[in-house]
Amino acid sequence: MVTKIGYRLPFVLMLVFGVLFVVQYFVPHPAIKSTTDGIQQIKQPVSAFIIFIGLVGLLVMHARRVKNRERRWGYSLVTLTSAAAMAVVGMVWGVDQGTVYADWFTYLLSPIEATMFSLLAFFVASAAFRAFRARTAGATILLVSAFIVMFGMIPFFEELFPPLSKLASFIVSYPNTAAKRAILIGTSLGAMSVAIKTIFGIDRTILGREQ
Amino acid sequence: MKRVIDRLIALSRIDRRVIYVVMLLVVALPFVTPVRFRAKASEETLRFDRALDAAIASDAPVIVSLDFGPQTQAELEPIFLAVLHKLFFHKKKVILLNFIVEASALARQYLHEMEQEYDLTYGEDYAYLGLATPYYIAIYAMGTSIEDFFHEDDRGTPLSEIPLMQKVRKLGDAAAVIDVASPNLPHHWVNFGVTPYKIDLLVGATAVKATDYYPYLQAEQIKGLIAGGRAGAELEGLIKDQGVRPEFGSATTSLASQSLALLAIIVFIVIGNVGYFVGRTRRQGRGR
Repeated sequence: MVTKIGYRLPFVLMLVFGVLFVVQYFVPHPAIKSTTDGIQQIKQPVSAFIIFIGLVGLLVMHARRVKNRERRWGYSLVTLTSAAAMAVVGMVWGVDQGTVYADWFTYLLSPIEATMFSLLAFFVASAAFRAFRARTAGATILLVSAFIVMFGMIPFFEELFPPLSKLASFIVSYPNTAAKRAILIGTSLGAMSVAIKTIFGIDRTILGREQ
Repeated sequence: MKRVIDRLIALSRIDRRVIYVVMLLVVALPFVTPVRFRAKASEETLRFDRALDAAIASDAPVIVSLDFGPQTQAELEPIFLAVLHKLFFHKKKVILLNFIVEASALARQYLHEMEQEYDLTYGEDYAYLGLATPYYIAIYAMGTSIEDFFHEDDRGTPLSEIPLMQKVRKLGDAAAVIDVASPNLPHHWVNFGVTPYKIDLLVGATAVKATDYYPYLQAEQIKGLIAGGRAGAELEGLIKDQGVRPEFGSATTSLASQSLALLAIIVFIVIGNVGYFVGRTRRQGRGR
């Protein structure tokens, strides 16, 4: 009996809060608005707690790897040390400009992240060379469109052949937008369908099977 | 003839290390040579600049959301700095916030630079609210009351004690919201800010993400869009012409690198396709 109530309680809560938040979006009555604003205040500490849980999970996982000397445990040690060091210097000396925290961010983290991301240019060039082939009609259309847009992005060609830039702008503004809009509407309808099924308890898989 | 065909097929199998070296050269070369490209402003960039002018003309402060980290800093920093320079040059009051953790350190760094260059006073000319999370709740709640959500700024000062925040109690009190973002945040600004509270939203985004926002731009849910590094260079050109900055920024410098890299990719794709078709024709010939 208790198990059944325990299983149903989340669905009741989802129904109540789900309907409330849908209604408040369309009914701007102060009473509903103040109620939902109050609930939203609760979400902030919940969100902070989620981040905390994530951090604890990360630390426990890496600590276990180091303790058991698992494969590549050295990387886990670097993760744990870095996380601890950033946390300590941030909490002890603050995070403003000129502090150790800000310097480490500017001179360590920023270059590392920027370097990782900039490697994409090399991989994209290599992948485009190997995979971008006009094998089918669809691939040919994609290839020609990509060429026009890429040429349109280069100022030198824009000056040399002005219609190219207009054609590139047309491709981005119309065929691209039509496709993006179709995807957006499709995913939104899908999200609505999932939300309705979850709120009304039709889809119960999110909490596992009923005991 | 056979030798030419063999060469073409061999070219289509260039070692990836050769591609990497060529890319390195074309990206690095413009930084050590005086080669500079000037980009002609597109209609989207002009729309963004007009919307920015309209926000500056209003009496109300502007809310700027900085939502990028070091990964996309090279592409988005010039856009963000161009916007901040134009706002502070025109003595516009700015309220800054961010939704991603890494942006906090960048925000403090940029504001420190701006404070020194424009002799700004914290709390009167600008305020930094800090990190807001979760973003969808933050945007929606700020529509009713910024103070109820944030309570205090990044320095721990209660918002009630910041003079600038007395002029902007909710999103609707701002002249516009400008979001320079690498993740999908403009999408959430449209859903939770523009639709319910009818705010004016201007967006600066990476070229990869910008295509996602064209439907919103056409529907005027986004008033202006700066799409990637090239558009950043266009904006830099505009603000230089307007006398806001004496020189072009880093987007203009990197435009030559970007253009040459695109050209190299186009050449590689052409070589790959020529080799592919020559090889296919030869295989088909042998099949007969």
